[in-house]
Amino acid sequence: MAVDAERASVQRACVKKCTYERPVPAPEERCLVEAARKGNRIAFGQLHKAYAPVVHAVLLSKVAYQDAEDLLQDVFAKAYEALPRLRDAGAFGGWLVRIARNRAADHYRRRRVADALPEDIPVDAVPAAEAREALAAIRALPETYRETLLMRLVEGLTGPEIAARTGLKAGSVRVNLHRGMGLLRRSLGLETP
Amino acid sequence: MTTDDYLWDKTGDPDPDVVRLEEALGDLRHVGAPRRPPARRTWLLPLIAVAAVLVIGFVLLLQDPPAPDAWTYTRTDDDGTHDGSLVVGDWLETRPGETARLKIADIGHLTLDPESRLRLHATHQSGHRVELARGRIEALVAAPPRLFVVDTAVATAIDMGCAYALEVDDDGNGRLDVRVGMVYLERDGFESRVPAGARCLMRRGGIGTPHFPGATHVLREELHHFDTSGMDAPRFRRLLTAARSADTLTLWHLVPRTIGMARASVVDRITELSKLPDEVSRSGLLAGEETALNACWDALRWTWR
Repeated sequence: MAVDAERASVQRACVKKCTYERPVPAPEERCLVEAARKGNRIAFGQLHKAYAPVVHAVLLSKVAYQDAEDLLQDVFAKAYEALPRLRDAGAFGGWLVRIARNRAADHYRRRRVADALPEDIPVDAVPAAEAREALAAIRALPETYRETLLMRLVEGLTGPEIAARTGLKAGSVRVNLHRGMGLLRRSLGLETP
Repeated sequence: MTTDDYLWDKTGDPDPDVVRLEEALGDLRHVGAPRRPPARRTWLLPLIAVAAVLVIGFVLLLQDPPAPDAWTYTRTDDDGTHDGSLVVGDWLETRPGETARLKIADIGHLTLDPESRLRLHATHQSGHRVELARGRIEALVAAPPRLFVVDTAVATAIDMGCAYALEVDDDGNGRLDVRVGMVYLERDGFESRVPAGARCLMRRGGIGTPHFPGATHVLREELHHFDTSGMDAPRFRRLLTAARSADTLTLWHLVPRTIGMARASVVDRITELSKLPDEVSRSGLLAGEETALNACWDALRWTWR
């Protein structure tokens, strides 16, 4: 019984450690980054596929919806050019997020976000009213919660996936999601506690 | 398990508010695949026959994973739709009144207009290339930059993640209109960067200078003269005078295409029309330095829409 209790305690500690330690990039992802650094476009394409939702969410938190896709391509173009200068392949996710934030900040500084959409935006690209309202409410939240919530609610990433791709601790992501969702409920007048 | 678990990793009892927000916001998601092509609203798409081809091979570096060697397509005419498969090396030709919509592997699609001819040269995870021999295509690509390339007799169009229309005629003259994202036109080391909303003409003699269709008639006329006949000082001054804020796209391209006093006048005009940040070096622009040009590009590009 004492051995079982000790074993259970160790297991709980391991689970807690695994859940709340900063995620270590999977070996295959480090390989992808290393390969992409050397110019392997296949590897970069796979990174693009994995990280596009993260970048898109970061951009959505700051720029107009219709600009996010254009900016996303710009972020990856910049990342591709700058990748040889990335020293730690394991830091790719956080590094990419910083590039996205910088691009969004540059874009925001140089443009006024008009309320009216330009005429050449296709009709089916205009978000529905409920989506616009929710997006506006998320953008009004503290920055700490904004990106994480967009990654979860718009891009469909789970908390562990968000942690793995941004370099944040899983515990931090969980807190951001929980508190951010609480503020969002109040802001949108949702009833569920 | 609690509803908080659902917010965390989608396990446990679904949280109704989270589910509702997921459904409302899901349409904003980056899906990594092209959405339906935008409805034609304001673009004018005159057909011009002919094109030439080219293709740039992408180098396969570390891996050579298996990939399909054909694209699927659907032809549409008055009789209905017909599906087919375009194998690498084969041509696809459309008749009058017929269009064909091709899937560019898993990164996008292109539409081949009537009386057009296209060949698939390569399709692989490391790159996809086609030859447009005649007619017009509209492409919509959601992929890393430089993964999709179209060659014509005059220039190579390199997709940087976007939607665009490319057409060429029998003499190799053509036009590129970019709707979303960016396309680079390259020839013999010469480059034109064509962003969303802009146009670039191509001709046997080389690649034109990108401009916005809404530029004044004077600017377009003088730009055409510059592109086809070279420098004429009085006409060049008229071009610069006719330039407005949005025309800094055109002026940026004129920096490396001019020298001496002409280049200085271009840089001065850019500075008059747009406040450049300190990191854009005037001396670097006058020297045609790549760093300065790229910094200037980064400063200007978001003022063009």
